[in-house]
Amino acid sequence: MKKQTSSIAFLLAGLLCCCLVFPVAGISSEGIPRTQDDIHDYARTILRTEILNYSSDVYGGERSAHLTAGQLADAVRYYPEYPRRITDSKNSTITIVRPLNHIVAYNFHSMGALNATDLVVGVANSAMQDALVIPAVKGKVNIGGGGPYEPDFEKLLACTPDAVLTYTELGPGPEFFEKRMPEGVPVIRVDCIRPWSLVPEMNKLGYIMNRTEQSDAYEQWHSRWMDEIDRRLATVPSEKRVRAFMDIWSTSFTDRSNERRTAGGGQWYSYGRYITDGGGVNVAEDLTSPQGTVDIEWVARQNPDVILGVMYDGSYESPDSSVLKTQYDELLSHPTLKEIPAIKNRRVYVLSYRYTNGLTYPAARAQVAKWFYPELFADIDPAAIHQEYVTRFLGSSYDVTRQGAFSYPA
Amino acid sequence: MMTTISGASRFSAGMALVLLVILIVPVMAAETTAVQRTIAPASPQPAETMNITITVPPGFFGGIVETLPDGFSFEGTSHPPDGVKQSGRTVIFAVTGEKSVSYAIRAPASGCGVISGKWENVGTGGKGEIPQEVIAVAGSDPSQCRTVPHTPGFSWWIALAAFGFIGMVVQRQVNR
Repeated sequence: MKKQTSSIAFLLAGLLCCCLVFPVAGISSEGIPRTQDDIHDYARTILRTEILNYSSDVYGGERSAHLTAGQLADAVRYYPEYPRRITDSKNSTITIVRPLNHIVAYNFHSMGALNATDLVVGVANSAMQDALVIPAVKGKVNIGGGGPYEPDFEKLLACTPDAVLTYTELGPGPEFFEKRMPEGVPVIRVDCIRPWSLVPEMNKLGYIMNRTEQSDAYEQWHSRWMDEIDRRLATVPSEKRVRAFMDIWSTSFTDRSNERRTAGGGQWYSYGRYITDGGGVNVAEDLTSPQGTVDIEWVARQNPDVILGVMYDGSYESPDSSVLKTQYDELLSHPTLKEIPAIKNRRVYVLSYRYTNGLTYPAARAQVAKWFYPELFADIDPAAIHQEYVTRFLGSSYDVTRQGAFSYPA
Repeated sequence: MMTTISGASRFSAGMALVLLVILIVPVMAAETTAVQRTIAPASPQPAETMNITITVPPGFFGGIVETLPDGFSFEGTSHPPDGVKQSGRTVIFAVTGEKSVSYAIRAPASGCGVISGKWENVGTGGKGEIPQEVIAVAGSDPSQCRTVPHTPGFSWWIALAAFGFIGMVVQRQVNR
Protein backbone atom coordinates (compact mmCIF):
# COMPACT_ATOMS: atom_id res chain seq x y z
CA MET A 1 0.00 0.00 0.00
CA LYS A 2 2.78 2.36 1.00
CA LYS A 3 4.51 1.67 -2.25
CA GLN A 4 1.36 2.37 -4.30
CA THR A 5 0.52 5.53 -2.39
CA SER A 6 4.05 6.85 -2.69
CA SER A 7 4.03 6.06 -6.43
CA ILE A 8 0.86 8.11 -6.88
CA ALA A 9 2.27 10.88 -4.71
CA PHE A 10 5.44 10.82 -6.76
CA LEU A 11 3.40 11.02 -9.98
CA LEU A 12 1.42 13.99 -8.67
CA ALA A 13 4.59 15.65 -7.39
CA GLY A 14 6.14 15.14 -10.79
CA LEU A 15 3.16 16.78 -12.46
CA LEU A 16 3.40 19.71 -10.09
CA CYS A 17 7.17 19.97 -10.31
CA CYS A 18 8.43 23.21 -11.82
CA CYS A 19 11.80 24.08 -13.27
CA LEU A 20 13.62 26.78 -11.34
CA VAL A 21 15.45 28.80 -13.88
CA PHE A 22 15.48 29.24 -17.62
CA PRO A 23 17.95 30.83 -19.98
CA VAL A 24 16.50 32.85 -22.84
CA ALA A 25 18.86 33.60 -25.68
CA GLY A 26 18.92 36.64 -27.90
CA ILE A 27 17.29 39.23 -25.67
CA SER A 28 19.32 42.40 -25.34
CA SER A 29 20.77 43.60 -22.09
CA GLU A 30 18.63 46.07 -20.19
CA GLY A 31 21.20 47.06 -17.61
CA ILE A 32 21.56 45.95 -14.02
CA PRO A 33 19.04 47.17 -11.42
CA ARG A 34 20.77 48.45 -8.30
CA THR A 35 18.11 49.50 -5.81
CA GLN A 36 15.27 47.46 -4.38
CA ASP A 37 12.75 49.58 -6.29
CA ASP A 38 14.69 49.08 -9.52
CA ILE A 39 14.79 45.32 -8.93
CA HIS A 40 11.04 45.24 -8.41
CA ASP A 41 10.35 47.43 -11.43
CA TYR A 42 12.52 45.28 -13.62
CA ALA A 43 10.87 42.11 -12.28
CA ARG A 44 7.50 43.51 -13.34
CA THR A 45 8.83 44.33 -16.81
CA ILE A 46 10.30 40.84 -17.22
CA LEU A 47 7.14 39.16 -15.96
CA ARG A 48 4.90 41.18 -18.26
CA THR A 49 7.09 40.35 -21.23
CA GLU A 50 7.09 36.67 -20.37
CA ILE A 51 3.32 36.56 -19.81
CA LEU A 52 2.74 38.28 -23.17
CA ASN A 53 5.09 35.90 -24.97
CA TYR A 54 3.57 32.89 -23.24
CA SER A 55 0.01 34.01 -24.03
CA SER A 56 0.93 34.84 -27.63
CA ASP A 57 2.33 31.38 -28.07
CA VAL A 58 -0.39 29.42 -26.28
CA TYR A 59 -3.44 31.45 -27.36
CA GLY A 60 -2.27 33.49 -30.33
CA GLY A 61 -0.21 30.92 -32.19
CA GLU A 62 2.82 33.22 -32.32
CA ARG A 63 5.98 31.27 -31.57
CA SER A 64 8.46 33.01 -29.31
CA ALA A 65 10.86 32.07 -26.53
CA HIS A 66 9.25 32.33 -23.12
CA LEU A 67 9.26 30.85 -19.64
CA THR A 68 7.29 27.63 -19.21
CA ALA A 69 4.04 27.57 -17.22
CA GLY A 70 5.90 26.09 -14.26
CA GLN A 71 8.59 28.75 -14.40
CA LEU A 72 5.97 31.49 -14.62
CA ALA A 73 4.26 30.06 -11.54
CA ASP A 74 7.59 30.20 -9.70
CA ALA A 75 8.22 33.74 -10.89
CA VAL A 76 4.82 34.81 -9.53
CA ARG A 77 5.51 33.04 -6.26
CA TYR A 78 8.71 35.04 -5.73
CA TYR A 79 7.46 38.29 -7.26
CA PRO A 80 8.46 41.15 -6.94
CA GLU A 81 11.95 39.99 -5.92
CA TYR A 82 12.03 37.76 -9.00
CA PRO A 83 12.27 37.20 -11.91
CA ARG A 84 15.74 38.63 -12.44
CA ARG A 85 17.58 38.83 -15.72
CA ILE A 86 21.11 39.53 -16.91
CA THR A 87 23.06 39.31 -20.12
CA ASP A 88 26.17 37.33 -19.25
CA SER A 89 29.63 37.96 -20.67
CA LYS A 90 28.96 35.53 -23.50
CA ASN A 91 25.94 37.64 -24.46
CA SER A 92 23.39 35.03 -23.34
CA THR A 93 20.30 36.27 -21.57
CA ILE A 94 19.84 34.51 -18.25
CA THR A 95 16.50 34.66 -16.44
CA ILE A 96 16.24 33.52 -12.84
CA VAL A 97 12.73 32.93 -11.48
CA ARG A 98 13.54 32.07 -7.89
CA PRO A 99 16.46 32.47 -5.47
CA LEU A 100 19.54 30.48 -6.42
CA ASN A 101 20.87 28.32 -3.61
CA HIS A 102 22.45 25.32 -5.31
CA ILE A 103 25.12 26.72 -7.57
CA VAL A 104 28.01 24.79 -9.05
CA ALA A 105 30.68 27.50 -9.19
CA TYR A 106 33.15 26.11 -11.67
CA ASN A 107 34.29 29.72 -11.69
CA PHE A 108 34.55 30.44 -7.97
CA HIS A 109 36.38 33.79 -8.16
CA SER A 110 33.49 36.01 -7.11
CA MET A 111 31.80 33.85 -4.51
CA GLY A 112 33.92 34.87 -1.53
CA ALA A 113 33.72 38.61 -2.18
CA LEU A 114 29.97 38.36 -2.77
CA ASN A 115 29.57 36.47 0.51
CA ALA A 116 27.77 33.84 -1.56
CA THR A 117 29.68 30.71 -0.60
CA ASP A 118 26.56 29.47 1.20
CA LEU A 119 24.80 29.31 -2.19
CA VAL A 120 27.49 27.05 -3.64
CA VAL A 121 27.31 23.25 -3.60
CA GLY A 122 30.09 22.33 -6.01
CA VAL A 123 33.39 23.80 -7.16
CA ALA A 124 36.24 22.99 -9.52
CA ASN A 125 39.38 21.45 -8.13
CA SER A 126 41.20 24.74 -8.77
CA ALA A 127 38.94 26.53 -6.25
CA MET A 128 40.49 24.48 -3.48
CA GLN A 129 43.54 26.73 -3.82
CA ASP A 130 41.47 29.44 -2.14
CA ALA A 131 40.85 27.35 0.97
CA LEU A 132 43.38 29.34 2.99
CA VAL A 133 41.37 32.55 2.57
CA ILE A 134 37.92 31.01 2.04
CA PRO A 135 37.82 27.94 4.31
CA ALA A 136 34.18 27.24 3.36
CA VAL A 137 35.37 25.94 -0.01
CA LYS A 138 36.61 22.78 1.72
CA GLY A 139 33.02 21.81 2.49
CA LYS A 140 31.93 21.92 -1.16
CA VAL A 141 31.79 19.04 -3.60
CA ASN A 142 34.98 19.00 -5.67
CA ILE A 143 33.80 18.23 -9.21
CA GLY A 144 37.38 18.23 -10.50
CA GLY A 145 38.85 20.19 -13.37
CA GLY A 146 39.50 23.88 -13.24
CA GLY A 147 40.78 26.43 -15.70
CA PRO A 148 41.17 24.62 -19.01
CA TYR A 149 40.55 21.15 -17.57
CA GLU A 150 37.19 19.38 -17.70
CA PRO A 151 35.38 18.51 -14.50
CA ASP A 152 33.61 15.23 -13.79
CA PHE A 153 30.17 15.74 -15.33
CA GLU A 154 28.52 13.03 -13.26
CA LYS A 155 29.72 14.71 -10.07
CA LEU A 156 28.37 17.98 -11.37
CA LEU A 157 24.93 16.46 -12.02
CA ALA A 158 24.95 14.81 -8.61
CA CYS A 159 25.08 18.30 -7.09
CA THR A 160 21.59 18.93 -8.62
CA PRO A 161 22.58 22.50 -9.39
CA ASP A 162 20.10 25.29 -10.01
CA ALA A 163 22.81 27.14 -11.97
CA VAL A 164 26.35 26.63 -13.21
CA LEU A 165 28.82 29.47 -13.10
CA THR A 166 31.75 29.20 -15.49
CA TYR A 167 34.04 31.23 -17.76
CA THR A 168 33.55 32.75 -21.19
CA GLU A 169 36.61 31.13 -22.75
CA LEU A 170 38.46 29.13 -20.13
CA GLY A 171 37.44 25.55 -19.59
CA PRO A 172 34.73 23.51 -21.26
CA GLY A 173 32.48 25.13 -23.85
CA PRO A 174 28.78 24.78 -24.69
CA GLU A 175 29.19 21.18 -25.86
CA PHE A 176 30.20 20.22 -22.35
CA PHE A 177 27.97 22.48 -20.24
CA GLU A 178 25.02 24.14 -22.01
CA LYS A 179 24.06 21.18 -24.21
CA ARG A 180 24.24 18.64 -21.42
CA MET A 181 22.69 20.43 -18.48
CA PRO A 182 19.10 19.52 -17.49
CA GLU A 183 16.45 21.87 -18.86
CA GLY A 184 16.03 24.96 -16.75
CA VAL A 185 19.56 24.99 -15.34
CA PRO A 186 21.30 28.04 -16.78
CA VAL A 187 25.01 28.15 -17.51
CA ILE A 188 26.18 31.62 -16.58
CA ARG A 189 29.41 32.65 -18.23
CA VAL A 190 31.35 35.43 -16.55
CA ASP A 191 35.07 35.67 -15.89
CA CYS A 192 35.88 37.99 -12.98
CA ILE A 193 39.49 37.76 -14.14
CA ARG A 194 39.72 40.59 -16.67
CA PRO A 195 40.39 44.14 -15.48
CA TRP A 196 37.78 45.78 -17.70
CA SER A 197 34.88 43.52 -16.74
CA LEU A 198 35.38 42.97 -13.00
CA VAL A 199 32.84 45.56 -11.85
CA PRO A 200 30.03 44.87 -14.35
CA GLU A 201 30.38 41.14 -13.82
CA MET A 202 30.31 41.50 -10.05
CA ASN A 203 27.24 43.71 -10.31
CA LYS A 204 25.45 41.17 -12.50
CA LEU A 205 26.27 38.33 -10.15
CA GLY A 206 25.38 40.40 -7.10
CA TYR A 207 21.99 41.09 -8.64
CA ILE A 208 21.06 37.53 -9.64
CA MET A 209 22.45 36.05 -6.42
CA ASN A 210 20.75 38.66 -4.27
CA ARG A 211 24.05 40.06 -3.06
CA THR A 212 23.81 43.64 -4.32
CA GLU A 213 25.11 45.09 -1.07
CA GLN A 214 28.34 43.15 -1.52
CA SER A 215 28.70 43.96 -5.23
CA ASP A 216 28.08 47.65 -4.50
CA ALA A 217 30.76 47.58 -1.80
CA TYR A 218 33.20 45.93 -4.19
CA GLU A 219 32.53 48.52 -6.87
CA GLN A 220 33.16 51.34 -4.40
CA TRP A 221 36.42 49.80 -3.22
CA HIS A 222 37.53 49.05 -6.78
CA SER A 223 36.68 52.55 -8.02
CA ARG A 224 38.38 54.26 -5.10
CA TRP A 225 41.75 52.68 -5.89
CA MET A 226 41.45 52.69 -9.66
CA ASP A 227 40.52 56.39 -9.64
CA GLU A 228 43.43 57.21 -7.33
CA ILE A 229 45.88 55.38 -9.60
CA ASP A 230 44.39 57.08 -12.68
CA ARG A 231 44.71 60.49 -11.02
CA ARG A 232 48.39 60.01 -10.27
CA LEU A 233 49.31 58.47 -13.62
CA ALA A 234 47.63 61.36 -15.44
CA THR A 235 50.47 63.57 -14.21
CA VAL A 236 53.13 61.50 -16.03
CA PRO A 237 54.02 63.14 -19.36
CA SER A 238 54.11 60.84 -22.36
CA GLU A 239 57.88 61.28 -22.89
CA LYS A 240 58.52 60.02 -19.38
CA ARG A 241 56.42 56.88 -19.65
CA VAL A 242 58.44 53.73 -19.05
CA ARG A 243 58.76 51.31 -21.95
CA ALA A 244 58.03 47.83 -20.70
CA PHE A 245 58.10 44.28 -22.00
CA MET A 246 55.54 41.82 -20.69
CA ASP A 247 57.03 38.38 -20.10
CA ILE A 248 54.41 35.66 -19.67
CA TRP A 249 56.18 32.78 -18.07
CA SER A 250 55.53 29.10 -18.47
CA THR A 251 57.90 26.18 -18.45
CA SER A 252 57.02 25.13 -21.99
CA PHE A 253 58.22 28.47 -23.30
CA THR A 254 61.26 29.03 -21.19
CA ASP A 255 62.57 25.57 -22.01
CA ARG A 256 63.13 27.06 -25.43
CA SER A 257 65.47 29.73 -24.18
CA ASN A 258 65.56 31.67 -27.44
CA GLU A 259 61.82 32.48 -27.25
CA ARG A 260 59.65 34.46 -24.88
CA ARG A 261 55.90 34.86 -24.73
CA THR A 262 54.36 38.29 -24.54
CA ALA A 263 51.07 40.10 -25.16
CA GLY A 264 50.28 42.64 -27.87
CA GLY A 265 47.55 45.23 -27.64
CA GLY A 266 45.06 43.34 -29.76
CA GLN A 267 45.03 40.07 -27.90
CA TRP A 268 41.93 39.07 -26.00
CA TYR A 269 43.96 38.22 -22.96
CA SER A 270 44.54 41.05 -20.53
CA TYR A 271 48.28 40.83 -19.92
CA GLY A 272 49.26 43.65 -22.29
CA ARG A 273 46.90 45.89 -20.40
CA TYR A 274 48.83 45.44 -17.19
CA ILE A 275 51.58 47.60 -18.66
CA THR A 276 49.32 50.34 -20.01
CA ASP A 277 47.17 50.34 -16.86
CA GLY A 278 50.38 50.90 -14.92
CA GLY A 279 51.16 53.96 -17.02
CA GLY A 280 53.75 52.26 -19.21
CA VAL A 281 54.20 51.77 -22.93
CA ASN A 282 53.99 48.16 -24.09
CA VAL A 283 56.92 47.57 -26.46
CA ALA A 284 54.91 44.73 -28.01
CA GLU A 285 51.75 46.80 -28.44
CA ASP A 286 51.69 46.32 -32.22
CA LEU A 287 52.43 42.62 -32.12
CA THR A 288 49.76 40.61 -33.90
CA SER A 289 50.95 37.07 -33.25
CA PRO A 290 48.07 35.29 -31.56
CA GLN A 291 50.43 33.20 -29.44
CA GLY A 292 52.53 36.21 -28.50
CA THR A 293 55.75 34.32 -29.15
CA VAL A 294 58.81 36.48 -29.82
CA ASP A 295 62.48 35.80 -30.32
CA ILE A 296 64.73 36.81 -27.43
CA GLU A 297 66.76 38.91 -29.87
CA TRP A 298 63.60 40.84 -30.68
CA VAL A 299 63.15 41.59 -26.99
CA ALA A 300 66.71 42.86 -26.75
CA ARG A 301 66.17 45.12 -29.76
CA GLN A 302 63.17 46.75 -28.09
CA ASN A 303 65.53 47.89 -25.31
CA PRO A 304 62.80 48.04 -22.63
CA ASP A 305 63.23 50.06 -19.41
CA VAL A 306 61.32 47.43 -17.47
CA ILE A 307 60.41 43.76 -17.83
CA LEU A 308 57.14 42.90 -16.17
CA GLY A 309 56.73 39.17 -15.67
CA VAL A 310 53.53 37.28 -15.01
CA MET A 311 53.90 33.74 -13.75
CA TYR A 312 51.35 30.92 -13.76
CA ASP A 313 52.14 30.13 -10.18
CA GLY A 314 51.93 31.62 -6.72
CA SER A 315 49.05 33.11 -4.73
CA TYR A 316 47.67 32.37 -1.28
CA GLU A 317 48.74 28.75 -0.89
CA SER A 318 52.40 29.43 -1.66
CA PRO A 319 54.54 29.58 1.49
CA ASP A 320 56.47 32.63 0.25
CA SER A 321 57.30 34.57 -2.88
CA SER A 322 60.36 32.49 -3.76
CA VAL A 323 58.37 30.66 -6.43
CA LEU A 324 58.23 33.90 -8.43
CA LYS A 325 61.98 34.34 -8.13
CA THR A 326 62.48 31.59 -10.72
CA GLN A 327 61.26 33.82 -13.52
CA TYR A 328 63.06 36.83 -12.08
CA ASP A 329 66.39 35.02 -11.96
CA GLU A 330 65.93 33.56 -15.41
CA LEU A 331 65.40 36.99 -16.95
CA LEU A 332 68.21 38.66 -15.05
CA SER A 333 70.69 35.97 -16.03
CA HIS A 334 69.75 35.67 -19.72
CA PRO A 335 72.90 36.49 -21.73
CA THR A 336 70.98 38.04 -24.64
CA LEU A 337 69.28 40.57 -22.38
CA LYS A 338 72.22 41.65 -20.26
CA GLU A 339 72.75 44.99 -22.03
CA ILE A 340 69.17 46.27 -21.93
CA PRO A 341 68.24 48.97 -19.35
CA ALA A 342 65.74 46.71 -17.59
CA ILE A 343 68.49 44.24 -16.71
CA LYS A 344 71.29 46.68 -16.09
CA ASN A 345 69.07 48.64 -13.70
CA ARG A 346 67.55 45.46 -12.25
CA ARG A 347 64.08 46.65 -13.12
CA VAL A 348 62.59 43.20 -13.52
CA TYR A 349 59.38 42.47 -11.64
CA VAL A 350 57.18 39.41 -11.43
CA LEU A 351 53.51 39.04 -10.51
CA SER A 352 51.48 35.93 -9.78
CA TYR A 353 48.75 35.58 -12.43
CA ARG A 354 46.22 34.97 -9.68
CA TYR A 355 47.04 38.36 -8.20
CA THR A 356 46.50 40.17 -11.50
CA ASN A 357 43.71 38.01 -12.96
CA GLY A 358 41.06 38.53 -10.37
CA LEU A 359 39.24 40.80 -8.02
CA THR A 360 42.52 41.88 -6.40
CA TYR A 361 43.43 43.73 -9.60
CA PRO A 362 43.40 47.23 -8.03
CA ALA A 363 46.16 46.09 -5.65
CA ALA A 364 48.16 44.43 -8.44
CA ARG A 365 47.75 47.53 -10.60
CA ALA A 366 49.00 49.73 -7.77
CA GLN A 367 52.02 47.43 -7.49
CA VAL A 368 52.83 47.79 -11.21
CA ALA A 369 52.34 51.58 -11.11
CA LYS A 370 54.63 51.80 -8.08
CA TRP A 371 57.31 49.70 -9.80
CA PHE A 372 57.08 51.96 -12.86
CA TYR A 373 56.95 55.27 -10.93
CA PRO A 374 58.25 54.66 -7.40
CA GLU A 375 58.32 58.31 -6.36
CA LEU A 376 54.81 59.03 -7.55
CA PHE A 377 53.43 56.10 -5.56
CA ALA A 378 55.79 56.29 -2.57
CA ASP A 379 52.91 56.61 -0.12
CA ILE A 380 50.83 53.81 -1.68
CA ASP A 381 51.24 50.33 -0.21
CA PRO A 382 49.89 47.73 -2.65
CA ALA A 383 50.06 45.01 0.01
CA ALA A 384 47.83 47.12 2.25
CA ILE A 385 45.28 47.42 -0.58
CA HIS A 386 45.46 43.66 -1.02
CA GLN A 387 45.07 43.12 2.72
CA GLU A 388 42.04 45.40 2.73
CA TYR A 389 40.41 43.17 0.10
CA VAL A 390 41.24 39.95 1.98
CA THR A 391 40.08 41.26 5.34
CA ARG A 392 37.01 43.18 4.24
CA PHE A 393 35.63 41.08 1.39
CA LEU A 394 36.80 37.59 2.29
CA GLY A 395 36.55 38.08 6.04
CA SER A 396 39.90 36.35 6.40
CA SER A 397 42.72 36.92 8.88
CA TYR A 398 45.25 35.79 6.25
CA ASP A 399 48.26 38.14 6.28
CA VAL A 400 49.39 38.88 2.73
CA THR A 401 52.69 40.29 3.98
CA ARG A 402 53.67 37.07 5.74
CA GLN A 403 52.24 34.37 3.46
CA GLY A 404 51.69 33.73 -0.19
CA ALA A 405 53.39 34.68 -3.44
CA PHE A 406 51.91 37.72 -5.15
CA SER A 407 54.79 39.86 -6.37
CA TYR A 408 58.58 39.72 -6.58
CA PRO A 409 60.58 41.53 -5.42
CA ALA A 410 57.99 42.02 -2.68
CA MET B 1 4.09 -10.90 -1.45
CA MET B 2 0.72 -9.36 -2.17
CA THR B 3 0.05 -5.91 -0.89
CA THR B 4 -3.21 -5.47 0.97
CA ILE B 5 -5.12 -2.42 2.05
CA SER B 6 -7.23 -2.03 5.13
CA GLY B 7 -10.79 -0.74 5.11
CA ALA B 8 -9.74 2.32 7.07
CA SER B 9 -7.04 3.17 4.53
CA ARG B 10 -9.50 2.68 1.66
CA PHE B 11 -11.87 5.04 3.40
CA SER B 12 -9.11 7.59 3.95
CA ALA B 13 -8.07 7.52 0.29
CA GLY B 14 -11.66 8.03 -0.83
CA MET B 15 -12.19 10.82 1.67
CA ALA B 16 -9.01 12.56 0.54
CA LEU B 17 -10.25 12.63 -3.04
CA VAL B 18 -13.63 13.94 -2.02
CA LEU B 19 -11.98 16.63 0.08
CA LEU B 20 -9.73 17.61 -2.83
CA VAL B 21 -12.76 18.04 -5.09
CA ILE B 22 -14.64 19.97 -2.43
CA LEU B 23 -11.72 22.30 -1.78
CA ILE B 24 -10.39 22.88 -5.27
CA VAL B 25 -13.42 22.98 -7.53
CA PRO B 26 -15.12 25.95 -5.82
CA VAL B 27 -11.84 27.91 -5.95
CA MET B 28 -11.52 27.31 -9.68
CA ALA B 29 -15.14 28.10 -10.26
CA ALA B 30 -14.81 31.31 -8.24
CA GLU B 31 -11.83 32.43 -10.33
CA THR B 32 -13.76 31.69 -13.53
CA THR B 33 -16.70 33.81 -12.54
CA ALA B 34 -14.48 36.58 -11.19
CA VAL B 35 -12.90 37.38 -14.57
CA GLN B 36 -15.60 39.50 -16.13
CA ARG B 37 -16.03 41.96 -18.94
CA THR B 38 -18.17 45.10 -18.94
CA ILE B 39 -18.88 47.10 -22.08
CA ALA B 40 -20.06 50.69 -22.12
CA PRO B 41 -22.15 51.52 -23.95
CA ALA B 42 -23.44 48.05 -24.69
CA SER B 43 -25.11 49.23 -27.90
CA PRO B 44 -22.91 51.86 -29.52
CA GLN B 45 -23.86 54.48 -32.03
CA PRO B 46 -22.11 54.26 -35.42
CA ALA B 47 -18.36 54.95 -35.06
CA GLU B 48 -18.73 55.47 -31.32
CA THR B 49 -15.87 54.59 -28.96
CA MET B 50 -16.70 51.95 -26.39
CA ASN B 51 -14.88 51.36 -23.13
CA ILE B 52 -14.27 47.77 -22.13
CA THR B 53 -13.17 46.80 -18.66
CA ILE B 54 -12.00 43.34 -17.62
CA THR B 55 -12.00 42.80 -13.88
CA VAL B 56 -9.87 40.07 -12.38
CA PRO B 57 -9.75 38.52 -8.90
CA PRO B 58 -7.30 39.85 -6.34
CA GLY B 59 -3.76 38.55 -6.83
CA PHE B 60 -4.31 37.67 -10.47
CA PHE B 61 -1.07 37.30 -12.43
CA GLY B 62 -1.52 36.19 -15.97
CA GLY B 63 -2.66 36.83 -19.47
CA ILE B 64 -5.96 38.04 -20.88
CA VAL B 65 -6.46 37.43 -24.58
CA GLU B 66 -9.29 39.39 -26.14
CA THR B 67 -10.51 38.79 -29.67
CA LEU B 68 -12.24 41.90 -30.98
CA PRO B 69 -15.36 41.75 -33.14
CA ASP B 70 -14.76 41.88 -36.85
CA GLY B 71 -15.04 45.48 -38.05
CA PHE B 72 -14.32 47.03 -34.65
CA SER B 73 -10.95 48.72 -34.18
CA PHE B 74 -8.67 48.85 -31.15
CA GLU B 75 -8.34 52.45 -29.99
CA GLY B 76 -5.97 52.17 -27.05
CA THR B 77 -5.64 51.22 -23.43
CA SER B 78 -4.74 52.66 -20.06
CA HIS B 79 -2.79 49.48 -19.30
CA PRO B 80 1.02 49.93 -19.17
CA PRO B 81 2.52 49.71 -22.68
CA ASP B 82 4.92 46.90 -21.72
CA GLY B 83 1.91 44.82 -20.71
CA VAL B 84 0.02 44.98 -24.00
CA LYS B 85 0.47 43.27 -27.32
CA GLN B 86 -1.85 43.64 -30.30
CA SER B 87 -1.86 41.54 -33.41
CA GLY B 88 -4.81 42.02 -35.75
CA ARG B 89 -8.03 41.49 -33.81
CA THR B 90 -6.20 39.88 -30.90
CA VAL B 91 -5.16 42.03 -27.97
CA ILE B 92 -3.18 40.43 -25.15
CA PHE B 93 -2.79 41.98 -21.72
CA ALA B 94 -0.23 40.90 -19.13
CA VAL B 95 -1.71 41.43 -15.69
CA THR B 96 0.75 41.67 -12.79
CA GLY B 97 -1.46 42.37 -9.81
CA GLU B 98 -3.72 45.04 -11.32
CA LYS B 99 -7.41 44.76 -10.42
CA SER B 100 -8.67 45.46 -13.92
CA VAL B 101 -7.72 46.16 -17.49
CA SER B 102 -9.45 48.85 -19.54
CA TYR B 103 -9.29 49.47 -23.23
CA ALA B 104 -11.29 51.18 -25.95
CA ILE B 105 -12.59 50.02 -29.28
CA ARG B 106 -14.39 51.94 -32.01
CA ALA B 107 -17.56 50.64 -33.54
CA PRO B 108 -18.03 50.52 -37.31
CA ALA B 109 -20.71 52.54 -39.11
CA SER B 110 -23.05 49.60 -38.93
CA GLY B 111 -23.22 45.91 -38.21
CA CYS B 112 -22.52 43.72 -35.27
CA GLY B 113 -19.86 41.38 -33.98
CA VAL B 114 -18.88 39.03 -31.21
CA ILE B 115 -16.23 39.81 -28.65
CA SER B 116 -14.58 36.88 -26.90
CA GLY B 117 -11.75 36.36 -24.49
CA LYS B 118 -9.60 33.85 -22.66
CA TRP B 119 -7.56 34.15 -19.52
CA GLU B 120 -4.92 32.22 -17.71
CA ASN B 121 -3.67 32.85 -14.21
CA VAL B 122 -0.04 31.79 -14.49
CA GLY B 123 0.35 31.93 -10.73
CA THR B 124 -2.31 29.31 -10.03
CA GLY B 125 -2.52 27.58 -13.40
CA GLY B 126 -6.24 28.37 -13.60
CA LYS B 127 -7.60 29.24 -17.02
CA GLY B 128 -10.91 29.87 -18.68
CA GLU B 129 -12.97 31.97 -21.03
CA ILE B 130 -14.60 35.36 -20.64
CA PRO B 131 -18.19 35.01 -21.86
CA GLN B 132 -18.75 36.02 -25.46
CA GLU B 133 -20.96 39.01 -26.10
CA VAL B 134 -22.65 40.33 -29.19
CA ILE B 135 -22.12 44.01 -29.86
CA ALA B 136 -24.53 45.54 -32.34
CA VAL B 137 -24.29 49.09 -33.64
CA ALA B 138 -27.54 50.98 -33.11
CA GLY B 139 -29.89 50.26 -35.99
CA SER B 140 -28.22 46.96 -36.83
CA ASP B 141 -29.77 43.54 -36.41
CA PRO B 142 -27.94 41.64 -33.62
CA SER B 143 -29.41 38.36 -34.80
CA GLN B 144 -26.96 38.51 -37.71
CA CYS B 145 -24.18 37.84 -35.19
CA ARG B 146 -24.22 34.72 -33.10
CA THR B 147 -21.95 33.56 -30.41
CA VAL B 148 -20.13 30.35 -31.12
CA PRO B 149 -20.62 27.46 -28.71
CA HIS B 150 -18.61 27.76 -25.55
CA THR B 151 -15.31 25.94 -25.68
CA PRO B 152 -14.69 24.48 -22.30
CA GLY B 153 -11.57 25.65 -20.57
CA PHE B 154 -10.46 24.07 -17.33
CA SER B 155 -13.96 24.43 -15.88
CA TRP B 156 -15.34 22.77 -12.77
CA TRP B 157 -16.90 19.76 -14.42
CA ILE B 158 -13.66 18.98 -16.24
CA ALA B 159 -11.89 19.08 -12.90
CA LEU B 160 -14.56 16.85 -11.39
CA ALA B 161 -14.20 14.35 -14.21
CA ALA B 162 -10.43 14.38 -13.82
CA PHE B 163 -10.63 13.70 -10.13
CA GLY B 164 -13.20 10.98 -10.77
CA PHE B 165 -10.81 9.36 -13.21
CA ILE B 166 -7.95 9.55 -10.70
CA GLY B 167 -10.29 8.02 -8.13
CA MET B 168 -11.04 5.12 -10.45
CA VAL B 169 -7.35 4.53 -11.06
CA VAL B 170 -6.63 4.55 -7.35
CA GLN B 171 -9.53 2.20 -6.69
CA ARG B 172 -8.28 -0.24 -9.31
CA GLN B 173 -4.82 -0.17 -7.78
CA VAL B 174 -6.31 -0.79 -4.38
CA ASN B 175 -8.46 -3.71 -5.56
CA ARG B 176 -5.60 -5.38 -7.38
